[in-house]
Amino acid sequence: MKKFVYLNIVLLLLISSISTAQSDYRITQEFKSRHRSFEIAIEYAKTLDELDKIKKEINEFRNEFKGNKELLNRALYPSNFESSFKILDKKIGYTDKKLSEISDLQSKVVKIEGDYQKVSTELQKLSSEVNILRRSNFQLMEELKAFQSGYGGSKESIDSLNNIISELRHGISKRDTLIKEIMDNIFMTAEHKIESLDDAEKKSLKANIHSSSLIDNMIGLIKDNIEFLDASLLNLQDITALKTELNDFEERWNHFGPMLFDIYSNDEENRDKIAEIDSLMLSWESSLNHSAWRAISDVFSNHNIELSEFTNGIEFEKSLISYINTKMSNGSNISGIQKDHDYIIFSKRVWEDIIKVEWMPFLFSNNLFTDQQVFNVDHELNNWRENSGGSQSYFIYGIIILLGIIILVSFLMLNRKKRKSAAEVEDPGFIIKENKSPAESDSDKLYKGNQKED
Amino acid sequence: MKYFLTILISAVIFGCTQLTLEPSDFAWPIESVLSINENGLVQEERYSFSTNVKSLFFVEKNDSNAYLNETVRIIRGTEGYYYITANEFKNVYLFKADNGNFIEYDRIFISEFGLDLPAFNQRKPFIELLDGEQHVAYLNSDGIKGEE
Repeated sequence: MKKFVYLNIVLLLLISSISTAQSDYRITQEFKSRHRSFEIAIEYAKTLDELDKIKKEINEFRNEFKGNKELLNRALYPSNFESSFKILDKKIGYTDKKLSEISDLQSKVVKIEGDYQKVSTELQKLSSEVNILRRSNFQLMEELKAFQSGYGGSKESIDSLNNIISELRHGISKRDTLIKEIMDNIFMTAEHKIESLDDAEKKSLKANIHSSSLIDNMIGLIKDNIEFLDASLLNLQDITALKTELNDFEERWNHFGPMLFDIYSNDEENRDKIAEIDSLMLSWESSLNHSAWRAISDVFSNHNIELSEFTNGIEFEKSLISYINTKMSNGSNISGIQKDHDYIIFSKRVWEDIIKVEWMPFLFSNNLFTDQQVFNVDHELNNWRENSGGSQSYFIYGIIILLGIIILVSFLMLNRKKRKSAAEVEDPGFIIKENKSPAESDSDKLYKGNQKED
Repeated sequence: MKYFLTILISAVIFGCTQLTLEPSDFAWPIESVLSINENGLVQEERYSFSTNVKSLFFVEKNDSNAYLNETVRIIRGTEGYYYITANEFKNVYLFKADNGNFIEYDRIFISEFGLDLPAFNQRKPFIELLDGEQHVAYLNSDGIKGEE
């Protein structure tokens, strides 16, 4: 009976093994088909999580077909079981990298979107501030012009004028800063990739530029600066501050200008405006330099030195040399003291103490004047000094000798007066008695000697 | 003279003997399932051959258009014979390649009702015949294993 049961089991196993036979072709086709499905799934994976899931499924797929490795090695020729999975691994690696990059980019996009919102809000705020300042500056400029036309020269008038200039300068400077902030905000996100901006990004930049009226504001700002510089007489401190602002603005413009030009390469109107800004930048610098030369001229005028007009370093040098030469050639018509006085005022008080000490650092740093030019002027001044040197030195020596005599005489007279008054207070015989005293001072001895001689 | 005759006879004997390379194995690892085009032609990519199966279908089904929209399943055994069958065939045909043709070597009868989903597996030294997932027989050039 037992034997019969075993025989049945063996038969059943044989039958089942026989009846469940699989076609090699079908196994191979299934493998190929699923392999292809995985390739497609990897290509279309949208997230790293999805890719991880696919990786797990591929692992299961591999285990499932491991038993048919021998068959597949032959059937998949020239590929084989292992190389089929290597292909999938390679694709996973590539997609993984791609998805990681996409993920990074998505985070960047989210950040950029946030920045964009922030920038847009900031731009609106800045633009409205710029508009307010523009109106205020315009009003101040009108006041300045009105004041200058009726400028009386009284202390109150000068104070009011200075206040207006100071307020206007502050206003323009604030507007400069705001516009620089607008530029920074607009280009903040696009700074390093302007060449690779796509149309949508360029459109967004254009929208920001348009909403903040950046180009028009820049043109307005530069024109206002030029007008202000032309209308005002500024001191060195103001000019230095304005020059710093100009340099700062110019640096930004050199950086952002080409970007703007690139963005508006197909927009003729804006392209022309950008070209206008380029030329206005030059005018701005030129106005600032003129302003500096005017202020220098004013320094000389304030010391009654009327130089011929100059608007650059060469003209300034010529003007100085011409003045010196005129003074030297007119030397015979004026007195020696007047000649010395003119020389001292020009050379010491203005040229050495003000121009060289205060203005030269500014002129040198902005390449408006050179060492050679200073040397040339110094050389002429030396000639002038030599030309007027006789009277000057006699005059000075005379004064010194005179002063020496006066001091000596005064001293002697003072001592004599002291002795006299002392003698009148004491007994006249006291002087004789006191002669025996060992503690007699030298002046007393001198006094006594003088008395004896008398 | 004696030596000369010996050399002559040896040369004649060696010259007439057919050169045989052995052992050789022609087995394909897996069957090929080939679609038949409208002219009855099938083309095998991997082993690079083509043949016309119109007459095979006509012999099997007595219908000159029976091959249309059909596929044939071909596998080569270790001995080098090609085993061919198709859906609803009652036989498996064995062919050998000869002078640019497939010459029928044998025809193995399988079933009076024909095979629904025939398939071949390479099971050296046999070819396994399946119908769907059902094992049908192990074949070789002598016919069905166990029935020779």
